[in-house]
Amino acid sequence: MTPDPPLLDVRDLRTYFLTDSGDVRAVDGISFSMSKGERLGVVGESGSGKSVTAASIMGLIEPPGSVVGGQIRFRGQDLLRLSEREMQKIRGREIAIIFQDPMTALDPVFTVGSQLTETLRIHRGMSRQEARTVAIDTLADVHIPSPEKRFKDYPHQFSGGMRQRVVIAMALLCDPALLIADEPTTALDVTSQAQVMDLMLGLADDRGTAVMLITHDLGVVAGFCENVQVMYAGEIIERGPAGQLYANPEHPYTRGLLESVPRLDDDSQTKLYSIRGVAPSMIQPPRGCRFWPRCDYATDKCVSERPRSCCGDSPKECACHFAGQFNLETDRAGV
Amino acid sequence: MSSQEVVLTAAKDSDSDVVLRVRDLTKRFLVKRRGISGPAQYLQAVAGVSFDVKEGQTLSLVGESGCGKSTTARCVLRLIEPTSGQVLFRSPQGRPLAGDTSPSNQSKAPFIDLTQAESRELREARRNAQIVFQDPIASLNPRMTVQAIVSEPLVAHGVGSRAFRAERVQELLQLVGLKPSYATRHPRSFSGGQRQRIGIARALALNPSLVILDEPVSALDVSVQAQVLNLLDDLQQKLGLSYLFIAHDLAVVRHVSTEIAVMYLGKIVERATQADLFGSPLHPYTQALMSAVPIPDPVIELKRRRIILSGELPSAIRRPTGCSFRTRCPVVQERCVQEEPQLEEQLPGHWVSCHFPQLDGSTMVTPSA
Ligand SMILES: Nc1ncnc2c1ncn2[C@@H]1O[C@H](COP(=O)(O)OP(=O)(O)O)[C@@H](O)[C@H]1O
Ligand SMILES: Nc1ncnc2c1ncn2[C@@H]1O[C@H](COP(=O)(O)OP(=O)(O)O)[C@@H](O)[C@H]1O
Ligand code: SF4
Ligand SMILES: [Mg+2]
Ligand SMILES: [Mg+2]
Repeated sequence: MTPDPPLLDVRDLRTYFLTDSGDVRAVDGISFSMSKGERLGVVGESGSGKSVTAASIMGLIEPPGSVVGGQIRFRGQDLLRLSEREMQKIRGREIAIIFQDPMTALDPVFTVGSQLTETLRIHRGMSRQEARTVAIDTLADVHIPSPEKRFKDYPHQFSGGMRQRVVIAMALLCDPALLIADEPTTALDVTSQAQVMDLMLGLADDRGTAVMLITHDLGVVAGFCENVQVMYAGEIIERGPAGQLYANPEHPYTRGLLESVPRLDDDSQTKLYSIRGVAPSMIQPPRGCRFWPRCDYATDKCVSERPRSCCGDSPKECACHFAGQFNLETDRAGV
Repeated sequence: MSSQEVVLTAAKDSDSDVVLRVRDLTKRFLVKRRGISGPAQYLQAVAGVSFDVKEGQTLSLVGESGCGKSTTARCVLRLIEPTSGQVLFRSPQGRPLAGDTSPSNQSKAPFIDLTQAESRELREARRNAQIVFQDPIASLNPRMTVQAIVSEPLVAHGVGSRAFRAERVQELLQLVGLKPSYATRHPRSFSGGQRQRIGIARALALNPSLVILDEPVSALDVSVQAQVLNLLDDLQQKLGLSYLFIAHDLAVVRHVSTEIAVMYLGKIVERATQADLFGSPLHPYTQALMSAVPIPDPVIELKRRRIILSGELPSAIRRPTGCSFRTRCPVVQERCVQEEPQLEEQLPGHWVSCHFPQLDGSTMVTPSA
């Protein structure tokens, strides 16, 4: 059985920001791929390079930032070689993106209905009447009550959760093959988050849309993604099928993250595991393994030698010299 | 009135360890007036809230944004004026400023109703009850040094000489896990975790007995959140602090609380011990809230039953008749529209405000096998 050719294939991507204090190596040599219809979670704490990864794929990096190396192949075509005009045809139509703040995608001075119909007329060449019908159906699809009435409302007349649902609807109007969702529920309350994630799951399933879900929330990913990759300081430090990665994290950082979140299903009130220190500077990241200053298992080798990066070639990878050689129970007892 | 009496009687036997008792607290904000002499329009942010915080324990207020948590906290300290209700607080007399590790004599002090307190009493109470915000430094003058920020409550209350205050700041920085040398720095460039530690040091400057924590870890990354939660736990043990903890993250709340009050649209809909609330949530809203919190475990997530609430949060200006939750409640009945449920003791120590409490709630957290 030959595997499907990847929908998206990112090789050794480097995106730096040139600032007065030095080059911020926001994304520093990451490689991964996504297949058709795959739901991939990208997790990591703030500043780890998740949004810059997304912006790089979309061709939205602006000075002082630039993609300084690597390839981003979408359906075999290297997006980094396209002109802005060619890229505009891909953006929105083939790859759509939604952000934490739905107002990034909505214009406050136009009604939600006119924004939906506009998209349909431009991208799908529909008549005014057709577009109106489809737009109202779409609002109903994302569970906006009385869609015909709400069609005439302005974005500010919707709640945050509804606005995000409208934006998802808008992003999916052109049936993109890939949807990048960058922290889509971070600004929402947990019940609205549940509505939005439920909706995304349903829509992505129906249409076979691949989704890259970017979030700092390990819980949100657990309910949505088949595969997960963890970013730390501009690198992918571990990747794997969700079930395996959560049950058996091989990188000390992944494990630390999983253990430091209080869980709803855990009634213990003992001290949380906590990763000491803070994320490193991306201008002069530590030599060797970038995590070593915070790692409980660091050896001389970690300080001097960079672990082999995740290269995106196998489904389960970990960029640690001692990947998986930690035993939770015995280590805990030993510490 | 009757429900208030019930609450008071029920709590009587355990009165002695109560440090803060809030009864029927309400807060209405004037939103606007229709025309020049038209009727005023009010927003009922807090609509009759009652709870006790016990000595050395943590009571949490949890609920989604806008449900009235911060307004409740501000009314307790009278940073804003409550519209009605009682805020009974015991100010321990002569709690020494530094180095106090003995249990306080707070429980023997008399209750003072802060809503009625004169300015001198209020001032004394504020020495003993402090608040920490989500980003405690954001609202401060960026030119202030850490020394100035942390010692400000001492200055405001005219405590100690300059030298004493400098020494106290050193001590406080160590207490919260910051280098004493930070005192001369400006916190602008500090990380979120460090800023929160400074906020905590400042709140502890006067050695209060009660600390109100309003979303203290909500803006932090998980690894830093764990550090701050551990610190708060250490401080509680070491200093015998009582916490009124405010958060929207139920998993965090489960981890830190002795007792929990779930709020919806300005009211407490359910209140119970940590074990009872999570073991058997009874209110349909609590259940929906719990079911919506993702658990970082794909195996569990795939099996969980999620209650997706329909509709949106109603406006606190035009509250629904009857039960506040009825417009979104999955088990609503005709009675809920007509009659407002009262917070009643459904099981011992487990208070619920619902005509039809749900006894099947135990599966909301973990799926039944
Ligand atoms: N416009 C910019 N100028 C300078 N640095 C930037 C800019 N945008 C992002 N960065 C830096 O790039 C790094 C990664 O940022 P980002 O991808 O936004 O993180 P995440 O989305 O994981 O929170 C951070 O250190 C951030 O400070
Ligand atoms: N100063 C104010 N004037 C008018 N309304 C307010 C004011 N402060 C808060 N509110 C309203 O009171 C309600 C409760 O707010 P808040 O206590 O901040 O909620 P929470 O802290 O639970 O998010 C909200 O509807 C909010 O908009
Ligand atoms: S009183 Fe009625 S509407 Fe309110 S929560 Fe209970 S069942 Fe639902
Ligand atoms: Mg981001
Ligand atoms: Mg608040």
